[in-house]
Amino acid sequence: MDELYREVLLEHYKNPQNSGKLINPDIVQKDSNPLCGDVVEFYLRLKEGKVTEVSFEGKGCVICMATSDILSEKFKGMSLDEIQSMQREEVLDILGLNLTHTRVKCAMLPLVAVKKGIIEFKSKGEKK
Amino acid sequence: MKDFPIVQELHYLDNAATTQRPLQLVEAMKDYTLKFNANAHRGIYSIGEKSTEIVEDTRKKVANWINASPEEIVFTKGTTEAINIVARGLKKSKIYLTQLEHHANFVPWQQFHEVIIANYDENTDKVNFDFEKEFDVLATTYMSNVTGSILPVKELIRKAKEKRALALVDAAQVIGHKKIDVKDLGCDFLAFSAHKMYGPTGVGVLYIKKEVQELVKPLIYGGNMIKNVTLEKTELAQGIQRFEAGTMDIAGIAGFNAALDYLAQNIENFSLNEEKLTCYLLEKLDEQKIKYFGHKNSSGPVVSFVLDVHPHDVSTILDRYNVCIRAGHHCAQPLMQCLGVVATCRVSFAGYNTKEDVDKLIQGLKEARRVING
Repeated sequence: MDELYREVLLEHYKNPQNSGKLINPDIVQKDSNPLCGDVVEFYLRLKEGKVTEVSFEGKGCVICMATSDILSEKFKGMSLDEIQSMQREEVLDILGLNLTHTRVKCAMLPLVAVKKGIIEFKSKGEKK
Repeated sequence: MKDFPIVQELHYLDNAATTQRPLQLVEAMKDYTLKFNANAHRGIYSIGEKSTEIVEDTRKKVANWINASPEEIVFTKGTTEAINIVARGLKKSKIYLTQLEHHANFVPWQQFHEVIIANYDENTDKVNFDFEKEFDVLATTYMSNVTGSILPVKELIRKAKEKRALALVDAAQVIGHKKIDVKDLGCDFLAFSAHKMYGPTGVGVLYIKKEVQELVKPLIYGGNMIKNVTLEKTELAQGIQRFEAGTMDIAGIAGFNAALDYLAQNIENFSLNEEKLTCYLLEKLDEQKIKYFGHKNSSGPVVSFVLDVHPHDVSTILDRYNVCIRAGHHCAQPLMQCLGVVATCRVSFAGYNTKEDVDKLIQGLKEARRVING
């Protein structure tokens, strides 16, 4: 069956490389999916406008958790603007999955959370 | 089940969300649409009169089904609208709710009134009411859409009435499984949806006891709910007509009419079958050491459970076996907080389900554990 639950995704789910908290992150953002109760919290550290370190903590389904781990890796080295311009199609391409409407929300939660964190971070910068 | 072609290939176990529809309903809606489509309570020509007749005949059948009078039956688009009519139409009051409520019988009250909550105890599978408390309206579910727990509604209403409170019953979950008698219950309001009793979506019912109809202001204003309109003011119609502004889903009501006949013929066999399947499922879950909630007291054919795989992943994998279950919080987040989970898997039966549906489910659950946990 299992395109959706193929080894590589299950590996990210069972043994995430980027899970845990960062001390003194520049961006911290939590978000949840009210439909299923999936929760993720992302931690990002920045240097010269680029993301140098990313980690996350969370509880959720295979799609949500595996995507969190995969995107954490992807974000490293990107600028905040680049992350903000990422679209849903790009996430689905990276995952290589054909997801149903409801499950797309599971896959999008990590990016939605990080984008929220970036907006918050930028608005704080403007206030300063 | 020859009356439900869709379940020939499908193990449909999400009946608490909506039930499948028998062919008899499809025929009735088709017949109405092709032969009689016209607005009800308006046209003075044959098909207009026929449309009115269909609506009023259905109202009579609904009234008979719950032992009410047709003058106490309001058609709505579902349970949610029915409860909103009452919650928004009563003056601001103190409302006694339970932790088992579906959001439909929780959020409207919380928005517009002061609410107090009777907590659910998962260990005893009971709701702990304190009738020493002061309240104006008891608004309670008859049967939980998550645990299947059936509340002693008649007894609760009796106690509420001793305090001169009004009583509303959310009967959405119970209506397809058990005959209800509003006079015996003693409630003032009862709400349910056609689509949880083999009927179509878009049609629901609010029973409002005659004596309390004047206490409720209409929710929606417009055509068909007035007595007289002038440039200066509008005089509203009396009785239930005040609550039925605008054009109804008449084809849906025609389908509901057929669904009521169907349920009347089958409810005894169906509920016996559902009871046996629930027992069979609980045995199988025990065998698999899968934790389920409630089912320690009187319960209906709804079972929520959790295993070591996220409910969304369970549901996706079961879909490969043509098994449809629900995964999520089931619009009952206050209850989820009490159960200490954010989501569960939920199986809910209808009359057409079989042991084979449960066997397929269990096979799928084993597979989900194998795929995800290895």
